[in-house]
Amino acid sequence: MNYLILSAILFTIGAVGVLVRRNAIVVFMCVELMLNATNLAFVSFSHQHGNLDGQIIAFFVMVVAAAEVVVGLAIIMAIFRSRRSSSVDDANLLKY
Amino acid sequence: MIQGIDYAAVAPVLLVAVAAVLVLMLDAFGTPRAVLGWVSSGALALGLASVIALASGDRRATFCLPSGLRGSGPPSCSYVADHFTLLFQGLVLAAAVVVVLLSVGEITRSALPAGEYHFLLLSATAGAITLVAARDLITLVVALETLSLPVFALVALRRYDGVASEASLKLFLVSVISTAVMLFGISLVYGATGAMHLDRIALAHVPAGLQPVASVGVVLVIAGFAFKVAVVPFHFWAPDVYQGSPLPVAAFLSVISKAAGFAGLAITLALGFPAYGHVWGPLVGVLAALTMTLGNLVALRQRHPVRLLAWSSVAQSGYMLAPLAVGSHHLPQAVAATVAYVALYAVMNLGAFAVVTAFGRRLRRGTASYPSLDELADYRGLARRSPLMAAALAFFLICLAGLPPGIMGLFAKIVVFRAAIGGGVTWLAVVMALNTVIGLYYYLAWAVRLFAAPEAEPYDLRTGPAVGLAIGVAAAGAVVLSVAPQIVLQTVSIVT
Repeated sequence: MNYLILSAILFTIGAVGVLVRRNAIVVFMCVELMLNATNLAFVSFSHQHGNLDGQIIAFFVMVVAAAEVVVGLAIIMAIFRSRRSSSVDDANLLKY
Repeated sequence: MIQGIDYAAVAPVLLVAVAAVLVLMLDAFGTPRAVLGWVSSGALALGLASVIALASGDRRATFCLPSGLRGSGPPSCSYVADHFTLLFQGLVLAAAVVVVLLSVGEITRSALPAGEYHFLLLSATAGAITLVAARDLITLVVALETLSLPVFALVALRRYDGVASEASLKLFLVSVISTAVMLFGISLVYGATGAMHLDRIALAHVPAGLQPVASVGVVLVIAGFAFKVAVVPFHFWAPDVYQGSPLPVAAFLSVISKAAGFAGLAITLALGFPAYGHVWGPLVGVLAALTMTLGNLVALRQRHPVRLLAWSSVAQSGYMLAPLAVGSHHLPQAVAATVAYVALYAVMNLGAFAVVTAFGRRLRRGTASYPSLDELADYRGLARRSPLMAAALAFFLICLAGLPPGIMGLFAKIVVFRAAIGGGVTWLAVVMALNTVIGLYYYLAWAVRLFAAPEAEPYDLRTGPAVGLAIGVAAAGAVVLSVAPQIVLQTVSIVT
């Protein structure tokens, strides 16, 4: 149960960080925090239920997160090269 | 214990995935661009053939729980190739062939790396056709990511263009956040039910104290899919991304990604969460009403054709979502209506994107330069310069608006109306009727421009055979389905 509370706290910290931070890399780190919070929740639920499904999905989440890092950092690099900034506020060419 | 794999059932996915790697290897050895295009469209056609071959057989399922672990529960297979799956796989693969045809000219025009482009396109398609076959939450998440990740790179492939990388960053951030939210929802559902397979989640006995936990989980999972199909309030990436990406990629996002997303949503809600119909039914209804209204109202004031198509596709998402608002009663009919609408929408929207792509490749007369950003006003007089293209675009727009002679669009809307009224959400049917009227304005205003007197500078329309073929295929599909829309209804009634 304590692990679930920790996981909810981590997820909230991540979500708040996504909303308030302006640097694309920091936003991205907060997303990773959210993903790791879900991993913690999966593993502790798995322990409670006594089956392995939750541990298996935790591995897949890690793989997905790693793939996201690869693509995400490449995109942030591309933005930085053309804009000399990694702040999401500077990404303002496309507007309504 | 070694599990047998039914390779016939997974053949379409395997073919596309192997072709993706093959294209990348061929590119590494300096194969010309044209050959890569042929390999990629050939692999997709081969996948389509295998889907058709599977459709004549029985339902196949693979990656099932071994009997030792199954207990007294249902078979719990992770990959099921039933008629629902095969319909969507066929739809996605056919649309992907058209997208590859559209891409051939775009790769040259925008100086995109051909091998990477085809590799990413095929990978994303492989993700889409896995998603529609997935029957457990793990497979669903992995397939959804396999669909999304290559698309970020596809959008950003015009590296010299600041707009493209910005569009990609927006798509990427919104997508990873929604994935995280969806995973948190899945963890709550898993916590409450102790199962990952949809058929076990549906049967799981959830103690009363954990009901709210499971409900929150269901809502979060819906939020994850809502991003994928651009439903309000997760829609704002759509116009920017469609505008910033190469047009065939925008077509991919608005047709293939969306069809796969709706298939995933329908699978999850109908197979996994029917017991929570009272939770997600009203939620989906409100989201559908908001989506269609906001999409249509903002589309009214767009001057750029791609942004107009983007907002119109947001509005169309609302129509597709509407039948699911019925909750758990009359659910099969509602799913059938959504499937029918998605299938018909795919044909007409792909057609519209094909014509817009072709029009974007026109050259200023006597020069080799492309005109700057297209505006709707540039379409004035297209009917005199290229009667066939104008006729095709006008027909697609009328279909999207849902007016005769575009019977397929009208028919799609009637199917959705009937499902909404039959399921007792009459208020949503009224909202939808009002929205259809708003939608008429911007579709028809664009169609009328095609036939107005030209005023823009003269240009040459040399579209090339591939794009012509793509428009022809989409137009033929639209005409056939307008003459005989019952084809879709019959297919869908077999499927669901």
